[in-house]
Amino acid sequence: MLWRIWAPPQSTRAVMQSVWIALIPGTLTSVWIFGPGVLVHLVLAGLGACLAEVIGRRARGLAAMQALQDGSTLLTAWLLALALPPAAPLWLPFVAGLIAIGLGKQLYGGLGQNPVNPAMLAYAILIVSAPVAMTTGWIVPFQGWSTPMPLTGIGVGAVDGLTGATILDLYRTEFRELTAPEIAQHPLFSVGGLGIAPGVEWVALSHLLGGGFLFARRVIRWQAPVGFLVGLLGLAAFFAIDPDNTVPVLTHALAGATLFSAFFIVTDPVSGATSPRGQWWFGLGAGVITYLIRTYGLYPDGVAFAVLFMNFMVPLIDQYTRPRIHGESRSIRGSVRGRS
Amino acid sequence: MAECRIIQSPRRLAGGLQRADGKALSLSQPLMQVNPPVLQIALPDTLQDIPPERWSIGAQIEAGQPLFTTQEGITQACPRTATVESVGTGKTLSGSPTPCRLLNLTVVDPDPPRQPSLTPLPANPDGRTLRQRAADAGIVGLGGGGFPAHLKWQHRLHTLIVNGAECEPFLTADEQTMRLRAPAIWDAVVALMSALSLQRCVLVLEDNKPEALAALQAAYPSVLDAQDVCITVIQSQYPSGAERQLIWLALGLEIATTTFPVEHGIVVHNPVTLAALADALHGYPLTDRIVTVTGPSIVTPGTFQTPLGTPIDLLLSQAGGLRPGHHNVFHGGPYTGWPISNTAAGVRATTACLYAAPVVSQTPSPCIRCGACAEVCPVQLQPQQLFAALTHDQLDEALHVGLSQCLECGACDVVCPSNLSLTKTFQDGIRDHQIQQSEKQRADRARTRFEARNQRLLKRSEADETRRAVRRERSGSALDRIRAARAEETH
Repeated sequence: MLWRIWAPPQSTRAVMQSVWIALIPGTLTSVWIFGPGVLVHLVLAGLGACLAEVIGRRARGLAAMQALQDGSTLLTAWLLALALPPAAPLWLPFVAGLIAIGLGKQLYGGLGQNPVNPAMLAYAILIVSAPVAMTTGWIVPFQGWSTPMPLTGIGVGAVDGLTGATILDLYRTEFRELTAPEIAQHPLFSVGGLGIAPGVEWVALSHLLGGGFLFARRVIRWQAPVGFLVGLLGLAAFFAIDPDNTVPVLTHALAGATLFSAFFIVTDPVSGATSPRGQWWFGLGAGVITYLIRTYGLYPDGVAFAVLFMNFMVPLIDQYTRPRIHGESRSIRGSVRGRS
Repeated sequence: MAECRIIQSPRRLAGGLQRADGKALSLSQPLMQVNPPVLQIALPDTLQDIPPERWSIGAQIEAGQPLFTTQEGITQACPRTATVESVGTGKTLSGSPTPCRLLNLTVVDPDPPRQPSLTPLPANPDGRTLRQRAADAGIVGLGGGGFPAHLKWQHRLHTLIVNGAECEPFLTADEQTMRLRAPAIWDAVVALMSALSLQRCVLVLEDNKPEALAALQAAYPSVLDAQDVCITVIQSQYPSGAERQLIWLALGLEIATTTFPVEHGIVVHNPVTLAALADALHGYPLTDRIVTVTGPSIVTPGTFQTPLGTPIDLLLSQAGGLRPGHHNVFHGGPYTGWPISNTAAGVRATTACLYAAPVVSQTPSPCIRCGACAEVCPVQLQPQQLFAALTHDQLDEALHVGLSQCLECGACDVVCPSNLSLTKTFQDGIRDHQIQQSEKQRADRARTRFEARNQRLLKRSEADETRRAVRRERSGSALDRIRAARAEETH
C-alpha cells in the first residue's frame, strides 16, 4: 500500500487524492488548535461545492456525478474550509463552496478551464462582501473545544473574548504603537507554541509536512512554493531592519496562510503558470503582492488577492517563460495573435 | 588485437522517459528463421498504376530477381523463388481507405537465395558504385524510416553515426543484429567510410546493451585503426535514438528541424540497415529483415529473420500467437507504433517490430496543466499549450509554439494523468497544416496563372491599341496628303 502512495500519481484522480493525503496533517492540527468547527466547515463547504458542481454540470448537459469522481471539487472545498476562520457562521463555508465551484469553476466550463483559483476567488468575494464574518471568526488558539459554534453571524460578537483576531491583525492594530520587546510581553504568546504565531505555527508546520509529501511524490515542483516564500519573506527580511514597525520574518512565515498557500494554493496547476520557470515567477509575484497587501493593504492577509492577481498574469507569464526548443537558437515568446 | 575507443557521452536528453525496457522478453529466444508458404508484397504508392500484365500469373520468379523499381531507384528483389498467384488490390496494413496494389506470391523454394544475384563488390568500392549497389539491392532505412540509403549519400558528408540506441522499450531488432552480425556492421562501416570519404564514425549504443557492445568490440576490424572511429555509450532514455537527439548526444550538435542532418554532413544509419548493406556488397539484395515480435499479449516473444511480404498472421503464429482476449497489434513499438488493422498483409522493409498488448479503454479527462508532458518532452515543447491551441482550432498558434518540431515520440502520452491522446492530436494538427500548405500552394499557382493570363491579355490589347493607333495615324496622314493634294489641285 505504501508504495502506491509514494509512486508518482498516474491519473487526475490520483493527483487530487495525493493532495488530500497531504492536507490531512494540517487539518488534524487545525482541529486540535481550533476545535471541531473546522470539520463542520469542511462538511458544509463540501456540500456547497458538490451542489454547485452538480447544478453546473446539469446546466451544461453533462452527467452530474461523474465529475465528482476526480476529487477536484472536494479538494477545492477542503482548501476553502481550511482558509476560512474556524468560528465563522455556518452559512459562510456553504456559500463559499457554492461560489468557488459555481462562479469559479463551472461558469468557465469545469475542471481545467478556470482561469483563477476557485477557492481564492470565493475567499476574495466573501472578504469583500462579508468582511465581519470573514475576519472576526478566529478562535483564540487551543480554546476551540470550549468555544460554542456560532450558528449565525449575529453570534460572533456575543462570544467575544473567545473569538478574536489573528496575529497578523494584532500587528496591524494593537501592536502598532508597541516596540518589539513590548509585543513579546503580550499574553497571547504565553498560550503555548513557539512564541511566533501562537497555535497557528503548528498548523503551518503541519502544512509544511504535507507540502514535503507532495514534493516527494512529484505532484508539485519546488519553483512556485520557493518563489512565493522568497518573494514574501525576502521583502519581510529586508524591512525587518526596523523591528518595531514591521512584522518579523518568522511571523510572516508561520502566521496567516503563508505555508498553506505556498504548498496548496500557488501550486494549483490549472490556474497557475505551466512551465517551471513560469511557476517561479508566478510564485515570486504572489509572494511580493502578499507582502504588499499585508503591510500596506486593507486586509490582514493578502494571499487570495495576490494569487488572483497572478492568475490573471498567467497567460502572459506562460508566453514568455517557454524553454528553448531543441535545435532553436532562442525560446519562442509571445503569441502569434499578439504580433499581428 | 584492434580495440575500438569507447566514450561515455556526457550529455543527456532534456526530457525523456526512463521506463522498464521489456527487451529481455524477446531476447531470451535465439533468432529464428521464418519460412512462409505465401508472400504478399504491397507495391509502393508511386507504382500504383503499373499494369497487372507486368507479371504473368503462374510465372516463376527466382529469389533475388528484381520485382519492380520505384521512382527513387530502389529495386525490390523477390524474397524467395516463387510463382505469381495474383496481382490485385487490397487493404494495407494500416487499413487506410485507399486500396493498395498487391502482388501475391506462392513460395516454391523456402530457402533464402544461395547465390548472389548481383556481382559481389570489392571491399573498397567508390561512391558511385556504392550508391548504385544500394539502390539495386533495395537498401532503405530499416529502422522504421524507410528512406532510400543512396539518396542520403548524394550529400557532401563527413560523419557517419550508427544508431544502435534502440531506445524504445521492447524493440530488439538492432540489438540482436549487433550481437549476431557485428562483423557485417563493421564491413559496411569500412565500405561507407572509404566510398564516401568520411572523416569519422560514431557508433552510439545505450548502456543497457552490454552484450552488443562486447560483440562489436570483439569484431572491430584493425582496418579502422587509422580512422577516427569510436563507440559512444549513452544513458538509456527514450527517445535518445531519435535522429536529432542522437546527433546531439553523440556530437553535442543541435540540428534545427528546418534542416536535415545530411545537410550538415552527418548521415545516420541503423545497424540493421548496415548489415543489409554488407550483404548487398556481397551481392545479396534485401530479401529478409529481422522483426521483433513481442509485447504482453504474445505467447513466446522473440526475434525472427523474416522474408519481406510474410503475412503478419503467420509471423504472429510463429511467435506462439496471441493470448486469449482482446488485443491490439501495433506496427512498431509501444510508443510510436500504429495499430495494424489488416493482419493478413505482408511484412514491409520498415517492420522492425510487431507489438501486441491487451486493449485498454482509457477515458480522457480534461487537461489540468500539470506540466508532466513538458517535463518529458525531448525537444522541450510545451505539449499542454500545443494541445490547448489545437483543441481550440488555433493551428497558427500551435505552429507558432513549435508544433512542427514535435517528434511524435509519444512520451507525453505515457505520462499524462488525464489520459489525453496528445501525440494523436499533434499528428492531426501537422497533417492539417500540410493540407493547408498544399492547398495554399495550389491556390498560389492558380493565382499566378490567372495573373499571368491577365498580364498577357493586357499586353496583347495594349499592343493592338498601339498598332491601331499607328495605323490610324498613318491613314490619317494619308488622308491629309490627299486633302492637301486636292487642295493644291483646286488652287
